[in-house]
Amino acid sequence: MTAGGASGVPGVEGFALSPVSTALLLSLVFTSLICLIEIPSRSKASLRACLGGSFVVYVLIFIVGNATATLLAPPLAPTDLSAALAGWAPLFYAFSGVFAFQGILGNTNVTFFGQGVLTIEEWIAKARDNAVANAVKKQTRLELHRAQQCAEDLRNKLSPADLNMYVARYMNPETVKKLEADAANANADPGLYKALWFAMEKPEEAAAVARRRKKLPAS
Amino acid sequence: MGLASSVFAALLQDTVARKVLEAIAREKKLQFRDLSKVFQLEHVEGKDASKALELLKTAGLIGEETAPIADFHTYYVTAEGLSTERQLRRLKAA
Repeated sequence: MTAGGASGVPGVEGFALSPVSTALLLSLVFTSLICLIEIPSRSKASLRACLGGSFVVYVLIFIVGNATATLLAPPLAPTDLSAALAGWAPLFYAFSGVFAFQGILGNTNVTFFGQGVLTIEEWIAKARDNAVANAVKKQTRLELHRAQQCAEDLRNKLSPADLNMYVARYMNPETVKKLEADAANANADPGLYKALWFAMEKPEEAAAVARRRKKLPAS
Repeated sequence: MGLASSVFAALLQDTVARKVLEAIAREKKLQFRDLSKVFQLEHVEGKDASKALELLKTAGLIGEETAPIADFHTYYVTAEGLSTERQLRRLKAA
């Protein structure tokens, strides 16, 4: 390792990044982090469900926007601050670039004769909607698939009395009666209804019960 | 592609459909039994919510994942649904 010059940062032998390149790299890291926090939080989905084509498009739009704002940051930075904190300049550029884009450019809609010509806010909203909706759809499929498998397992491994006992234990005895009434109203098999409900409302507990129990002997 | 203005107008008129869309967009996904609870509907009277769900599904504002029992069918918001709900919210605030 060598120390980078005044214009660069420490790097591998013979390789030092200029402050602008470092700022761009940092802005890429910040952008990815922000997107990795934002989409799971907006979609209420797991990170696994969030990753996909529309997520990549959303991240790319932000990378382009944030990188552009980061490139615009050095000329606008106060010179005395740059001199005093020369080593920290890339971090400052990246930080101000990312937040300038998120806060100002990201909320910009320029209209000309009533026609939107620079509707950055709309593009971002559309890309975000796609990323969030895709994550929600994947998460829904994943949860329903897991719950159905778990419910099937519970029905194969638990007697009706045992299933009632677990539902009562994890909720309360009244829940069993309520679920039986709901199943009757829906003309559904009460065992399947309770197993599905248990697998959806308490997925971890239901999966643990299904794992612990052995399959019932065929009657 | 934007939402057809006729569907948007129908949504503005249909209070139940609008509320169902708002509830699904807020929670991102809801089971039919939760929707019935939100709208305090009995099974027999769930028809209003079912009609609203059909309208929203046809317009592409929500999607549906089916389960072996109808009460556990899950309805989730689509990208078009998120954008429409935002427009409705803006209209309400204006």
